[in-house]
Amino acid sequence: MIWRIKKPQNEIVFLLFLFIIFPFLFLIFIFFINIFKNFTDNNLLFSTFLLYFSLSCAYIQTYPAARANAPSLQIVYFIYKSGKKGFSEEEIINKFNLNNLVYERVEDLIKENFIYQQDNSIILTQKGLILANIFRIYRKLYGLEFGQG
Amino acid sequence: MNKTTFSLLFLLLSPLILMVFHIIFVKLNKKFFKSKISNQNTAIFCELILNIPIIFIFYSLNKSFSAIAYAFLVYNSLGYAYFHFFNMSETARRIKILLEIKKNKTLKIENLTQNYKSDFMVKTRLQRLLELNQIKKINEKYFIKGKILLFAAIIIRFLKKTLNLENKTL
Repeated sequence: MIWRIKKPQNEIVFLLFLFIIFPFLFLIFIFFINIFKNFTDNNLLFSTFLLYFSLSCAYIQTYPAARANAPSLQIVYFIYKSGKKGFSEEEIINKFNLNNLVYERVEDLIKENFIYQQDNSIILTQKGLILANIFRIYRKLYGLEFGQG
Repeated sequence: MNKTTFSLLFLLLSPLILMVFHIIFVKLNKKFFKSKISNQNTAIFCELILNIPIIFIFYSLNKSFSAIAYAFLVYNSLGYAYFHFFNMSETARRIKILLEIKKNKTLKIENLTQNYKSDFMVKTRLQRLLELNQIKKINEKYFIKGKILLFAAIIIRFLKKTLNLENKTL
């Protein structure tokens, strides 16, 4: 409903507030009331929130794929649509264009304040540097090279 | 702390257990097994295999069959989120762009697009999809093989329509 009326500027942060932060604050409020009124078991509240939290996490992690048009899923869909005829590599490549693949993502990163543009160059903001470091360390933990994008 | 609270905390921390298990598995595979399993497949394998101990421990602490269904649902939802996070580090273009800029301090947009040509991008993804057994190649043509990512692609299209996200192109 909210998305159909007006899409928030920072969608992921808004999703986190909507699905995780607000419900968590509500849970704390209910816990406090329960201390005085003792209307239910605290474990029941905890288990309900945990179930809700896990399903919300799954939804939030699905959202970027829907928003950013995950190319792998697009490729699978093109191949599916081609049916018994199949799809060649060239036909798939022709379906994508560089403008959409890179520029849109660069625009998103600028909009979300992860990078900024100076003349024709792009530079990381402090926020972008933190995110880049998180992923660099995360990949290092596994002993893996950077993903190929 | 009673058994139920402990079991719920255990379930809440299950993504961390999954992450540690996944890291150990990736390192062992690199050093000893040397199997050519793709990075995404290792994440899926670890997520699925950990269902057994996690659900067993949760059941042992709660002794009810509804606990099995509950643990299955919670653990796999969190595991799904974990997989997406890992996959983001593997395939997301935005993360790749951020890491490229970090490596070079500053980057010209033209250089970025040079490193990110659509044929390279498509080839990398076709290779991944072949490794994941989601597509097959016969006489230079690609066909659908697995149904998991196809199902995901259909769900995503539905989500895009519902959330009015269709103005974004490829």
